Amino acid sequence: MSEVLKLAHKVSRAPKHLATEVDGNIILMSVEKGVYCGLDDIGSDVWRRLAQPQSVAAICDALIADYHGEREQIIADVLELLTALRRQGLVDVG
Amino acid sequence: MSAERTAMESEAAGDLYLCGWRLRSALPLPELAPWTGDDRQPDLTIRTGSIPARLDGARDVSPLLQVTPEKQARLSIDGVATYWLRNAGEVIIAPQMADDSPDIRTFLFGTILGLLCHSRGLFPLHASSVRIGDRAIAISGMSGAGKSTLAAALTRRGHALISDDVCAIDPAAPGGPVVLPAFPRVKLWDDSLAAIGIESAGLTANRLGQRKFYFRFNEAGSFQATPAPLKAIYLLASSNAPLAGRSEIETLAPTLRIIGLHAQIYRKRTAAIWGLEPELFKALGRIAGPVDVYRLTRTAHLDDLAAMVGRIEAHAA
Amino acid sequence: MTGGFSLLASYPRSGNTWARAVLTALARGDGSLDINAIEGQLAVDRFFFDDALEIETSDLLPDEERRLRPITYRSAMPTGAGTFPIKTHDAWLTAQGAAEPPFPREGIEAVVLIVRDPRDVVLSLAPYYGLSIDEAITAMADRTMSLGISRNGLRPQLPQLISSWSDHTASWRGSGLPLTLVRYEDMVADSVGTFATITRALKCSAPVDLLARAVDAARFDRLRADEAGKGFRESSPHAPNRFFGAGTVGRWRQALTAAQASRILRDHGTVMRELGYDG
Repeated sequence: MSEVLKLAHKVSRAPKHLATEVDGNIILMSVEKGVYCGLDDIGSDVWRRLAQPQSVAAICDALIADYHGEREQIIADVLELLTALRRQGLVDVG
Repeated sequence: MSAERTAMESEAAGDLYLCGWRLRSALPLPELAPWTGDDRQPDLTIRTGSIPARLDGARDVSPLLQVTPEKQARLSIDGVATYWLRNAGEVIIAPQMADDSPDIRTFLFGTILGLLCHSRGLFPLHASSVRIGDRAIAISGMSGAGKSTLAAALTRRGHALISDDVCAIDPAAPGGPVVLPAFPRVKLWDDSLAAIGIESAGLTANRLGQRKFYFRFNEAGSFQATPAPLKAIYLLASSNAPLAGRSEIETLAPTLRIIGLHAQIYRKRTAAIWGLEPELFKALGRIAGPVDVYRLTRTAHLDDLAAMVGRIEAHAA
Repeated sequence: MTGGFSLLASYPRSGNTWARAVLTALARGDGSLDINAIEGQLAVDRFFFDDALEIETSDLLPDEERRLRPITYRSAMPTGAGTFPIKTHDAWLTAQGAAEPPFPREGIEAVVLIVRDPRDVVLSLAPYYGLSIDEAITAMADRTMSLGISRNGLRPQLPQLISSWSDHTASWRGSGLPLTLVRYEDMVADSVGTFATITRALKCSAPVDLLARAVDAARFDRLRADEAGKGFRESSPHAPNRFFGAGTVGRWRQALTAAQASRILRDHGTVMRELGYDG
């Protein structure tokens, strides 16, 4: 899985995961890998948006609009987050 | 007619309380407090009867336990009894010992109670719980970690026992998670009893010939008989290594709360086979938000018991 | 029925943990080793049994625990059993209450039995269990000796019948199982060669340079320093964080009296001679 994540990639939540929420922040568990993953505010926001499978670009666009942040920074952060989630078996790319 | 009604009334008069359920039992259950709630029909019936060797559509969870997708369960303890959780409101027991043997109740209030919680939508935590002040605290950990010993020691200091070993939580109660009381009894080994200053002579043994005993709290006020809001959970961790620089009670960040609590779901493997994992994981979040979760590190010895009890009391106040 | 598994068997204080440390370092590939993360589950961990059986095994009597062990292993094995050997101090004997030896014979793919001169074992056994040397010699000759029986308090393990030192050794050698015997003394004198033998038996052979690196990562002075610094969760309450000793051979010649040494020779001479522990 050395393929780098790209904006055009479509991402979705992996089917076999557990999710819960503590004080607004989402905590995930990959059943397959047995690892837990705690998400911060923005990460939790991305995860909520992933209720619908969509392209990485679409997620970035939505965040850029909502957070008025620096475009390049948001894209980098989202790619890093989704890459990590994919490595943990929590996100599928297809 | 009136003889029958008297018989029915007297049967109802023997009803008991367990985790918020009205329980009618054909077997004596001396640990349990009487039912003092409303006049509902029993939520749960326990009776003796014959049990099929194999449940329809059953799968083996272990050499001792079979379950079905409809949440039936059959637990077999050679020489003691077979238990059939026939539905969420009925347990049938086929004893291989005298009906009033404590051994039978040992497994009834262990695995069977845990599976009842799962089938009835309660969240069973592997923990003992007491009321400190006006709220419940739970002490959680694996077997031998010290849950019962600490709970018993705290109860002896005037706090009320809520449950031992299985802590039934309603994570969705209005106002926040509550603990549903079980009964005022702990199970303690000889060494724990000695550490608390209780004589084992005269106590009922958990299993015939075992040096682990039932200790029942009989004094008024030593049992919290109504549901109590859960304020804190202490996860017991043992330590061989020196604790240099590390406080014994450590507040846990949300992710560590979830990881710690997830490991302490009672009879977690059967619950997973019943497809309950996703909702139990969600329930963890509902508990870990409003309830404070701490890691309580202690050495394996019982010498520090008094100090540990004092520390918990002060911390939970 | 679960898949096959391998066993790393030994009488206590004979180098089992050291062997696992080397195998862990080998498996990790980067040469690093954390003594509190040594692989190789203990065969009798209570937590494993509680989960495998779905009851609180603390509610079982010792005879029931003994009977259920091989039955449980047929339905489940500790995590990692497919890729790393399971540690055991059991003798290959049928214990009281059981109907067969502790492990299902048909599931065992390989056994590596580590033996050590009982005169050196006793020097390590005594402080670990809080005994005098003479008491430890008596314990080593006791054919009914067991570890982990919950009598007045709960032990974190299920019972293991270890028997006497010579009965323990003879039981495995006479078991008819696929057995490779290694001597602790050879692990010390020729570490790489002996671990080559061990890894071959466990079907995890590795090139000599990797073996050498793993042996180096688990050197005794390193294990001891690690334990002194961080603590070791397998150390005993009688000697906290002094699990790893000097890892020497033949210290008995200085530390035992002539009377003690000949007691041991009298108790275990037959098997000692078979293994080359004559001198």
